Amino acid sequence: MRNLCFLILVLAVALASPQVRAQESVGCLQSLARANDEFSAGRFFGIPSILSECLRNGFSNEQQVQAYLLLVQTYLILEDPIAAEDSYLKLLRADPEYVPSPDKDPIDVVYLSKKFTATPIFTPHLRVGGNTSLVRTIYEINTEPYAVNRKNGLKGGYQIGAGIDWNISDHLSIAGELDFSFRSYQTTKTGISALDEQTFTEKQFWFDVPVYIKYRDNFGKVRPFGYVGFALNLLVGAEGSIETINSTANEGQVPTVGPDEKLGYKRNFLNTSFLVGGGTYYKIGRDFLFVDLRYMGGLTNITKEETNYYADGSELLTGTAARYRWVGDYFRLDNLALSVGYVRPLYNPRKIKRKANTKKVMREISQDND
Amino acid sequence: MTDMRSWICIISLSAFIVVSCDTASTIDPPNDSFFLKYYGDDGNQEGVDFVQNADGTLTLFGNTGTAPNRQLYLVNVDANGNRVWERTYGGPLDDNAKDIELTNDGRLVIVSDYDSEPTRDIVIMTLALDGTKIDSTLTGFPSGGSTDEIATSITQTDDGFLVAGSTSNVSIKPVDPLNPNPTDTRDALHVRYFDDLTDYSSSWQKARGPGNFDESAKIVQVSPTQYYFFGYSDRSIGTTGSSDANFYFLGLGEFGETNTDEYFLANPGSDEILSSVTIAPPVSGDGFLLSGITQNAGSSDIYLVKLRNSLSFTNDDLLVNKNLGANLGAINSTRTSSYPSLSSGFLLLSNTIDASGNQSFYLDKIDALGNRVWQNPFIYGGALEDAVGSVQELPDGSIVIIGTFAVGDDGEKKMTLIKVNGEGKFLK
Repeated sequence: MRNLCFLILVLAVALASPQVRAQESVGCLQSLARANDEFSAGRFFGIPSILSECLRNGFSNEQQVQAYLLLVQTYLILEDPIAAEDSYLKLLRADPEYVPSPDKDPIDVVYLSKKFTATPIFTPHLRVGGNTSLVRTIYEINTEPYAVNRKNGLKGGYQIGAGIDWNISDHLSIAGELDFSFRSYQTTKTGISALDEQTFTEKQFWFDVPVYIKYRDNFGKVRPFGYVGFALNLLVGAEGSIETINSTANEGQVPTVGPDEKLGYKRNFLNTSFLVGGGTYYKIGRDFLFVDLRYMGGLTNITKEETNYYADGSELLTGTAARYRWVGDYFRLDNLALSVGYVRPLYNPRKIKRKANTKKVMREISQDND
Repeated sequence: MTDMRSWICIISLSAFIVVSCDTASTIDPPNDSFFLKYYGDDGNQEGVDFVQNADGTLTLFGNTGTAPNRQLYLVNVDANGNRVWERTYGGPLDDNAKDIELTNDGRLVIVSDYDSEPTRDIVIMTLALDGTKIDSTLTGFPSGGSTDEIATSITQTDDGFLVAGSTSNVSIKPVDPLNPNPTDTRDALHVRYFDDLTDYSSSWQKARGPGNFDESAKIVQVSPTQYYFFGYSDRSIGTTGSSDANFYFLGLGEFGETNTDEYFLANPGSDEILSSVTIAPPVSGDGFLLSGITQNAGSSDIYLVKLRNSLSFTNDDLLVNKNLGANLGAINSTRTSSYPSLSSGFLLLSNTIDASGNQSFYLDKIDALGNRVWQNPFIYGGALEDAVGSVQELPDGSIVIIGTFAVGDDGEKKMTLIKVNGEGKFLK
């Protein structure tokens, strides 16, 4: 019997609570309207107490912003700067992207806003996308004693990664990432022994650690950005598919093709590159989607000179030189990647530590007006 | 302050990029130090021997085409292995390159076999350094006749050339009418020519044959009237009655007559096939290094004999007489090549075959006493049957090897030139 009573009580509370909340919401809307009326009437002292209950529990996020803005103005008029700053900080916590406008907000609020920032200290992101690689040959290494026709072809790849921006100002950040990527390229040679052809396709697996400095726009729904930096590139796996076609004038074509050759031991594990890129953020709520086009220019020779001619783990000539007539070039590998991603800024509203410079603030306000 | 930090970052990054980028100006061209190159266009090409020219180029000698329709193939390459020019020589039947030498006056001399069906004759050509033919001659007994002659090497003398080889005409040598050898099949040749390749005096004895099968590997002139003959023979030796092949050497007089004792290096129970004779410079202890293959019950090793400079044709001549200890397997070719190293010792090249039947190049280095210098030999090759030609050391200490690789799954033969560093590696 006691259990039944308890159940009925729980159900009654559950059914009643939306109604309660709706009543509270209507009540808080009235409170906000009443506080605005008081402000307009020049009766400032009662405003904090009118809003306090709903600020604790009842305002929607948008109503909180309006309430705190009203409190900021109130405390400024009441010449209580500490309370004004406290209210502005709470406003930024409600809406980290709130920026007072000289057009619609009192100048003293705008001035106060310049003492604060909500720019996130750290902004993590995730990215995924496709890429293609471009071979930058340092030395061609042919088994032929004459020039052969050579063409480097583009092949597709993919990348996935995560990173974090350390925002050193409203516009500048230093970012780091850890990305995994699959890259591929193809080299085709013709004119080997006059008639023979060779197609070499390499597939590589990389971990990249790019570090870069980024400049970004920090207003609006669409926010362009650009960056430049460098990357550590760890080549963790490589294999090659080789096909050599022996064409004989009278006897047709004999292809030599087999299973993929392991090439990782012929490649340098640690490589470096510079990177340059740009794109745009698209604001969704407090977070962002972004699209990023990045060019990563390889700086180091990927081919390990000591093992280029040899079989894995031995000083025997590799089978690729004899079977396929293939020895790897010395080359750098550039990469062009298009990624999309998701950013969740870790907002951190705070008072700027440095002392406000009135002239600078006024100049910024003037620029905002322009 | 932030702007300052940004500029520092950008400047540091730019400096990093400029300093750390690998380019052709920061990496030595690999082909200057080591390479592997295949020569020839469509079809088969084989590499046999090469010479170093005074201008730093190499002239490679081999064959192009497929037996029984091969032609001689000559390729001049620069120090990086790039082809400068190439020429072919030969008749409608089968030519088979054997040896090329650079003469003292800057000509090339090549020797080859020519299949005049059903037997072979010997072809000698002198060429200008650009491959233009100067003189040529074809030697057979009789020319184009029914006996089979092959060459193994050619050596310049003070007035011409000496060709070593063998013939199936066992009647050229002086035959003892009281003691004929009815089972004689092949005699060693030492045919002499003037510088314009005309026949030497008919009084020059051209052949010898103490065994049933005899072949000369090299004839060396040591004075205007004295020559050393190096070859191998299956002549029965000593009380064992062993009649397997053994190295032997002797002295020839100014008419090709034997003017010393014959010295046989008896190794009962195995065949020793002599294929390379190298004159040792003082840094390698002077004398002559003889190398070949010793074979016994399907296994092969390199057999080394080092002789002193001035031969007495006794045991006193032997400075080294040993097997190298290389397990070469049941190789299909008994060719070896040796070359004195500039530092000291000798480079040795032969074939080796693995358990899968893949024959590859085998490169080793020995000191003046025949002891191995390298911890391990170097094996170059792929699947199928590769065949060595010869090895030399360049003035910069790098090692160059010519031979034939079977490339592709169809095993097309390609003249192959390998250049490695003085330690046998594809490294600077």
